[in-house]
Amino acid sequence: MKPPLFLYLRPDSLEEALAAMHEHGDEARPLAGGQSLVPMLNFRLARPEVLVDLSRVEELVGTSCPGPSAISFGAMTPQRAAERLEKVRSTCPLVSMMLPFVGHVQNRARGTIGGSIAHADPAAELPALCLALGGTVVARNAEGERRLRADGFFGGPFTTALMPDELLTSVELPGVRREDVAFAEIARRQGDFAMAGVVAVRETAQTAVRLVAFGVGGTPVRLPRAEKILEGQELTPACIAEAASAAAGEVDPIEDLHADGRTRRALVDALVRRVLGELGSEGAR
Amino acid sequence: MSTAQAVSHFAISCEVNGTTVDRVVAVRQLLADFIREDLGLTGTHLGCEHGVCGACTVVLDGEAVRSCLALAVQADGRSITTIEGLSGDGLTSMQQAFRRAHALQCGFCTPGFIATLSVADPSDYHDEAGVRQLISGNLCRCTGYENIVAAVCEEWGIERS
Amino acid sequence: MPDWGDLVPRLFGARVERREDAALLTGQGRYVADIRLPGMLEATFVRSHVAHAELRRVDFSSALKAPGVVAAFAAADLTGVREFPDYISWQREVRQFPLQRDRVRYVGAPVAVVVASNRYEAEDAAELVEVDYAELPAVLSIEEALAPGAPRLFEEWPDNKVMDLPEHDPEVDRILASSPTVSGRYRMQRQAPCPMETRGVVAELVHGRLTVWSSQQSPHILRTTLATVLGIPESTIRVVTPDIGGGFGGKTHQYPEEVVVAWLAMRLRRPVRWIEDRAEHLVSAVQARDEMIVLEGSYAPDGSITALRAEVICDVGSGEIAMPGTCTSLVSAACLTAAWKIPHYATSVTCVVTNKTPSGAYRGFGAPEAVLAIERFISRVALTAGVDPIEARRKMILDPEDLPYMQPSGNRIDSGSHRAAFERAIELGQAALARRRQETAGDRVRLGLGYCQYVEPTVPSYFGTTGYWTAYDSSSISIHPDGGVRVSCGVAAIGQGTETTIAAVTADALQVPIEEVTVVVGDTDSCAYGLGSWGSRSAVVFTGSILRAAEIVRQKASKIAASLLEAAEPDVVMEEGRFHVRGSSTPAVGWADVATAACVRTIDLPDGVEPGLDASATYEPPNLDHRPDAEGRMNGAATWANGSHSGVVAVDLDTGGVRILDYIVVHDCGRVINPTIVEGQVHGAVAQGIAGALYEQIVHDSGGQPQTASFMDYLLPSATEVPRLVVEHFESPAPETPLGIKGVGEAGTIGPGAVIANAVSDALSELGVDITETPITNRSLLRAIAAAGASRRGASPEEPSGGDAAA
Repeated sequence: MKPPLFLYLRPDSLEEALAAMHEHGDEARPLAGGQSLVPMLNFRLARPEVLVDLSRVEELVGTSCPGPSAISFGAMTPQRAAERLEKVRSTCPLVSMMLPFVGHVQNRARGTIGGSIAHADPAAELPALCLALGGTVVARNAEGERRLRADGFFGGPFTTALMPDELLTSVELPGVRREDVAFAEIARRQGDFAMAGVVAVRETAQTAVRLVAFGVGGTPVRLPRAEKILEGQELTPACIAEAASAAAGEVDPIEDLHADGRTRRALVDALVRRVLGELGSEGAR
Repeated sequence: MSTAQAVSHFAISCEVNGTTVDRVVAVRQLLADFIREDLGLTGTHLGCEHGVCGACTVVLDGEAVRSCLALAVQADGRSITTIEGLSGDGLTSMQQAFRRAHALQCGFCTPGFIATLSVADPSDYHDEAGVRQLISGNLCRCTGYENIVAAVCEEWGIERS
Repeated sequence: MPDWGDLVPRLFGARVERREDAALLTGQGRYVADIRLPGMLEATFVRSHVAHAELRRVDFSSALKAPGVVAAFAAADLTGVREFPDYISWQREVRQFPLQRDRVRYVGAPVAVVVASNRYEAEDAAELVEVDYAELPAVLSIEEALAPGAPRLFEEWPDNKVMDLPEHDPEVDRILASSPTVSGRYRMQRQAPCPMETRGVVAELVHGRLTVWSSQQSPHILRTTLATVLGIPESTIRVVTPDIGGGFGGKTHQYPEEVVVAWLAMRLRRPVRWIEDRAEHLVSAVQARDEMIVLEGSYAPDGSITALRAEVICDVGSGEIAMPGTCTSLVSAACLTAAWKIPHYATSVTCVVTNKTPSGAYRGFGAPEAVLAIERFISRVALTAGVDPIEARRKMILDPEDLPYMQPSGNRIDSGSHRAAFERAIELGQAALARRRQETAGDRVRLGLGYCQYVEPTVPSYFGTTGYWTAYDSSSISIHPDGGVRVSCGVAAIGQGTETTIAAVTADALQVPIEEVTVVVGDTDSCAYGLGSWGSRSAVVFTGSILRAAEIVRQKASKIAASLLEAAEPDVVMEEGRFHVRGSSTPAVGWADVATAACVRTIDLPDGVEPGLDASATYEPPNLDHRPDAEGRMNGAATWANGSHSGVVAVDLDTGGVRILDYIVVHDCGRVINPTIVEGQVHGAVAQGIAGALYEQIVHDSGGQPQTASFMDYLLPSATEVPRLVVEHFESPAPETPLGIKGVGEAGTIGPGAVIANAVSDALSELGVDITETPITNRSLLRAIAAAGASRRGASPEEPSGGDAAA
C-alpha cells in the first residue's frame, strides 16, 4: 500500500497553482488536505501524473465575513481550524455542528473545507452543508473566476462542475441562526461516512425549510416534495410525519455494503422527523 | 509567469523532535515511512496505511495528524514530534496514567493514542462521552478502550458516567 | 500438582504493574517491521485477484526490468521447498504449497513474490507481473458448496466437504421422535482477528544459520514447520518473535509468507523483509467463524431441554492453511451445551471449502458461535413451552454438587461457579435495566436485557490443530552470580502482559524482588521447546513449568546455602530470598552468595553438588484425553473456565439502531494471578465479541471479490462503539492445575454475540423478533422488524433472522 510514482509541484501562490493546473490539465490532481486523495494513492486507485500540492498557497487559507450574515472559507482552511473559530460558531452554527462528524480529529487537522467539497463524496457532510445553506462555490482557473451555486455544483459521485484546470478557491455560506438549522446522521461508527444524513435549514421568516439528504444517492440531494409539504406550514407532528414519509419516498437510495435502499429510506424518514422535530421545538421557543 | 518544474525528488528541511533534519526524499514517500525508515524513529507504527486506525498519529505543527496520509515532502519547513519526542526523559503524566490504568496491552496503537492526547486541550472535554469521541480516531484491538478511557478521565479529572 | 508449598507468595493475586509498558509507551517497542538489517531487501507478494481459477502462466519479464527489482519467483522456482504437512487423519488432505501452483482458490492467494530494494519499488514491479488465469466458477457459501453438482475446489475430492463427521446417537433420535420438539438455525458471520500489527517476516542467513523474525504466536512450531517445508535441519533455524502487536489466534498459523521469506534469504543471501499491509491482511491472514448451527431439541414442560441434536456446518474458506481451520467447528460442537445439563446430545460436524480466504483460529475458537446458537435456542424453547426464559435456564444450569460434570460430548467440567455467576450477571443486568427504564425516553425506543452463560475450554490439547498430541510447555531458570534471575519459557508474548506474569510467578517461586527477574520468551535459541501462546493456555503451562524448575533450583540452593552457613541442610529455610537456619534470621546468605558459589567459586560447593544454578522443567497439563474414545467423546481441555455476561440495549424501532447501554461480565478463571491483566484480557475480548455482534463482517460479492479489504469497510469498533465494561471476578480454583489457575485469554469473546442477540430479541419481543444471526445491523434489524410485522399480519413471512448475512 504505497503510492505509485508521480511528479510533484508545490506552488507558493494561487497564480502559480493555476498555471500548474493549466499546464498539466487532466494529468494533474490538486492535493488539498489529502485525507481522501492519499488513501486513494496508497491503494493505487488514483494515479495522477502530477500532484499539485496547494498547502503553501496562503491566499487559500482563512475565514472571513464578507457580509453581516455570511461567512467565507478559503478552500485550504483546515476543517479543524474552522471548527475552533468562535466567529464560525456565531455566524454559521451549522458548520460548527457538522464539522465534528467529518472523519476524526486527526483527519480534520489536515482535511480542508474546500478539499472535501471539491472531492464531492456523496456521503460527506460538507457538500450537504453547502447545498442545504445554498452556498456559493468560487472557482478559478488561469482565465478567471466563476461563482457556482451549490445547487448545480454536485454532478454525481466524486463529480463536480469544476473544470479540469479549475481550482475551488473559496466557499461562501450564508449565516443562518442556530434555531433555524438542524442536522442528524446515522453512520455505522463514529466518524464513518453516513449511511444517511439530513440537514434542515429554515428560510425566509419561517415559511419554508430547505431539506437536504446525503449518503443516499450520487450527490447530496434536496428533498423538494418534502419541502413542498412544509411550505407555509407549522411543524406539527402530522406535518412532520407527512414530510418525512414524502422524503423517504423521493430519495433514490444507493445500496452498498452497509445499507440497502430500504434501510436508507427508513433512515431518511427517521432523520427528517428528528431534524424537523428539533426545528419545530426551536421555533416554538 | 513561471511554472516550477514538477519533480520526483525534493530536498526538505524540517524539525523532528527538536532537531533540524535535512534530507532528499522521493515525493511519493509517505511521512510515516520517512519517520520510520529514513529517521529510524520506529515508535510511529503503521496499522492500516489508509487513515483509519490512527497508529501512525504524530504531531505536525501542533496538530495530531495521520502520518500515513501526508507525504514526507509536505513536512518541509514544518515541525514534527513523534512518540520519541513526546516522551522526553521519563514518562509524561499521561503516559504514567496509561501505565497505572493498564491502558495498553500489545502497545502497537499506544503511541498514536499518546500523540492524539498530547495536543488535546483537557478543558474541551467535560465527560466520558467527549473523551471517547476524541479518541475514536485511534483504534485499539486489545483493551476494549475501557482502561484507556479510565486513564484519560483520571488524568483530566473527569468523573466517569 | 505444583504448588507454593511453604512459600509465601507476595505477587500472586496482586495488581503488579506491567514491565512491558515503559518501552511500549515511549515508542521503544521492537516489532518485526522495526527491524532493519544491513543490505536488507523488501518483498511483496503477487496475489490472486480472482476467486477461483486455473493458474496458467506467471510472466516476470516486465517486472524484472523495473527499477530496484532484484528478483521475482513463482511456485516452480522454489527449489527444495515442499508442501506444508497435513497431520489430520480425520479430514481430507489439503495439499498446500507456499505459492499457488496450478490453481488459485481465493482472492489474495499468494502466486508470486517480488523482491526489490524497497517496498515502493517492489509494489511497482508486482503490478507488472503478468499472471494468466483461466477463471472457474466460484463457490462462496455453505449452501453453494453443498449444492448438488457444485463446482469443486479440489478435483480429486468427490465434493467440497473437507471434514464430515456424522452423529450417531439412537437414544437422541428416539427421544426427539417421541417428544415435542423445537428447532432453529443459527449463523455467525465471517470475521477477522485483525490485530493492530499485521503479519510480518524478516529473515537472514548468517554462517549457514537462518534467523527468522516473525509476528507469530508459536515460535517453536514455526521452526519445526520451516524445517519440514524448507527441507533443512531444524537446528539450523532460529525463530524470534519480538514485540508482537496482538495475535488473537490469527498468528498461530504457519503461513506461506514465512516460508517464502525464509527461502528468499537463503536463495538471495541477503536479509529480506516482508511487512503485510492491511489490504493484504484482510484477504490473506486467516478469517474465522462463518458457521451455521442447526438445532433440534425436545423439552420438558418446565422449559428444560431433554435431548438435543446439532448440526455444525462451518465454511472454512479454501482450507489452504497450515494447522487447518476445521478444528473450531469441533470446539463449537463441544461448547454448545455450555454449563447446561442437557442429558442427551448428539452432533454432526461438517466443514466445507469455499473460494474464500482460509479460516483459522480467532479468539473464542468456535465457542462464540455455539453460545449464540444455544442461547437463542433456549429462549425459543422457553417461549414455546410458555416458560420465562430465565426460569428455563435456572432449571438447567450446573450446580456445585454436579461437579466434576461429564458432558455428553465427553468434556469434563472440572470446576466453576456456573449458577452463582449466572445469577450475579442476571442480578446486575436486571438492576441496570431498571435504572435505564427510568432515564430512557422516546416512544420509538425499546430496551432489552440479554444474558448468557458459557464454559471455556482452557489449556487445550494440540489435538486437532497439528496432530501433535500434546499440551505441554517448558521453562528454564538460571541464577546468575549476582543473584539475578533469568527465566525463559516456551510460550510467546503477544501483548497480553505475559512477561510481567512470568516474572511475578518466578519472583514468588524464588522469593526475590520482581525487578531481579529477567524474562526471555519468543526466541527458539534461548527457550526450550514450547507450543506458544494460544488456547488460553499460557498462564497455566508457564506457571506449572516455572514452579517445577524453581523447586529444583531451590533445592540445590538449599544444599549450597547449608554448606555456606555450615549448617545441616534440613535446618536451612528460605524466607524472603534469604537462606538461614530455622529459628534465626542471622547469619543468612542470599541468592547472590549461593549463585556465586555455584558459578564462580565452585571451590565453596559442598561435596557432591555440581556447579551451576539452573534448571529446566516441563509441565504437562492434566485431564486431557488427546483423542476421542470409541463413542467419539473426549475432554480436550485441562480445565474449564466459566462466565456469565449480561447487557442492556436500546433499540430504535425506526432506524434499527442498537445501542449497548450496559455490559456486565461475571467471570471465573479460577485463581487470578494478576487481576489487572485478567480484566484487560476480558475487556479486549468483550470488545471483539461486540464487534462480531454489531459491526465486523467479511463480505464477498457474488464473484468472490472481497468487499471488506479496508478498515473503511471492515468495521473495527472504536471507543464510541464499545460501552463501559463492568467486570466482576469469581474464583473457583481448578482442582488439578498449578495454584488453581485457569486460562482467560479467550473467554470474553464468547458472550457478546449471545447477550446482544438475546437483548435485542427481548427489546423487540412484543413484535416477535427472534434474532438468529449476527451481525445485527440497521439493515438486518429493520428487515427483521418488517418481517415480524408481516408475519403477524398473516402475510407469508420471510425468515426474520435479524442477522446481516453476507449480501
